[in-house]
Amino acid sequence: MKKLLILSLTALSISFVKAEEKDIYKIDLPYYNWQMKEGKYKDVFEQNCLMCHSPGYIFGQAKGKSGKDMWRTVVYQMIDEFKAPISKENAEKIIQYLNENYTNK
Amino acid sequence: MDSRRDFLKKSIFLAVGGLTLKNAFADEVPTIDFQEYPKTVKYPEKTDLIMYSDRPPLLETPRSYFSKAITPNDAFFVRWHLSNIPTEVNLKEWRLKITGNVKNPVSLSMEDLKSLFEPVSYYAVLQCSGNGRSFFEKSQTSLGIQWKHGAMGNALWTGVRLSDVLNYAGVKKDSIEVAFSGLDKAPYPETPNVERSLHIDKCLYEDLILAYEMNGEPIPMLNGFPLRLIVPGWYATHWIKSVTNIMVLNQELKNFWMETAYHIPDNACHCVEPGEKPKKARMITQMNVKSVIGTPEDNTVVKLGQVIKVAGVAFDQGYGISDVLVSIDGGKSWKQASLGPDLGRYSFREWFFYFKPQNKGEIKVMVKAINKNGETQPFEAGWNPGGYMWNGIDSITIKVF
Repeated sequence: MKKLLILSLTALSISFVKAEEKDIYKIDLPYYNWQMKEGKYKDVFEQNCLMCHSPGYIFGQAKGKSGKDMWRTVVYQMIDEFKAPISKENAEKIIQYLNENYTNK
Repeated sequence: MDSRRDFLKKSIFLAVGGLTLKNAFADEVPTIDFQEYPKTVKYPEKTDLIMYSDRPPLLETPRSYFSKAITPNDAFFVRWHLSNIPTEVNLKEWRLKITGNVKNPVSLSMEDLKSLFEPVSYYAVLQCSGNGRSFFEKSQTSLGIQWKHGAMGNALWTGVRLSDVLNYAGVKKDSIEVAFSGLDKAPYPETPNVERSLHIDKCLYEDLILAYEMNGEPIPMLNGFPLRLIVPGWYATHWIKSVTNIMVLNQELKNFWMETAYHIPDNACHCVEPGEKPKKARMITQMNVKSVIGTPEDNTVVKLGQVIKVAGVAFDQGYGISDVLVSIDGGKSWKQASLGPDLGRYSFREWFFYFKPQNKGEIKVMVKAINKNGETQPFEAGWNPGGYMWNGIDSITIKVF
């Protein structure tokens, strides 16, 4: 019975992936609702950072021991290396939001 | 400039749209908060994996899979750099283009690849440069995804020799590099798309392949369907996913991915003092010798008198594993583990070790591998700003009562 269930589940996932036509391979990515801390300039962070990547990047980095100026390094890496269109003024606000809400000593 | 303005317009539209969507489906969309991060979730074609990000998807294989030499496709880790990743591929339209400094630029269908060239297969470990980055935390957290053990896996890759495909197009004599890029794109047009090059000798005279199968199946979409560059012995950053463009060059490729990203200190230990910047850096290339404990789980509780089997995998850059040593006394003495079958020099090598604890209390089980070049693992890997190449000795704690 258990085997049957596993088999039918496998069949289901394959048909899900391979769609109707055998040459077309398709998946649908799931969506998650990330709970970011409320804080000053949260809106600036959301408007400037989340278009390109998930808040997961912030959570992950914030779990570790951050060195001095970690978020400044990160935000300017996004601007200088990944060419994120963030103004200097907004960069400072984003750094402030991240420092105040996602910093480990 | 226009594309930049379009992007900003789209951003604002999507930001507003996203918020509405969030509210409308608030009950159905799984919530993730800081406390429960990273969360274990299921992605299409994947089993339960540890999720660090959903855009782009970053999924880690749980440690328990590393007691077996072959990592199943559905448990294989996922890592993309840029969030506009391929989610749909029509093989009728898909083509691999070989252009640039060649005699005959060609465009090949999957059928062409499978019929024109001899298929080849081998096992090879795919490991993210930053696998184990979180273990650098003892000195200072490196920037990047805080992977634990599972940004790695071993699979049987089947495909065609890169050299066969390049020779089919006819590499011109003055070529010095080959550049590769795939279907993934940056959401913002000025962000540099992933494009990387390798030296011409590596492409023509080594054992690189363009794989269309992983463990006998088409490569999962999230692992680079339909074609992935396999660079055995080297870190995953070189294994370009969903390859569509191969460009032969008679000059060096210069971009963010070649000049800045994935660079390690250019010295003997590939390390600097925590927090410092290297004087000179270079591109990461070969992996180092490493072993990981798959089972039992950390903090397993056993009864006194019970025999414990510790099992895991070991690998290196391609010399092959000569010995795996286990310590149950905190690293004072080391005993030989038994090795599983040799699946080739680029593969995981299974190892296992049985022992019977003599006393109650906590036992720290440690493992280190030695390769055929005599290299072994350090207790702690040397720190570097990118948190790359962690190969410190792995350990688990077993509680005996």
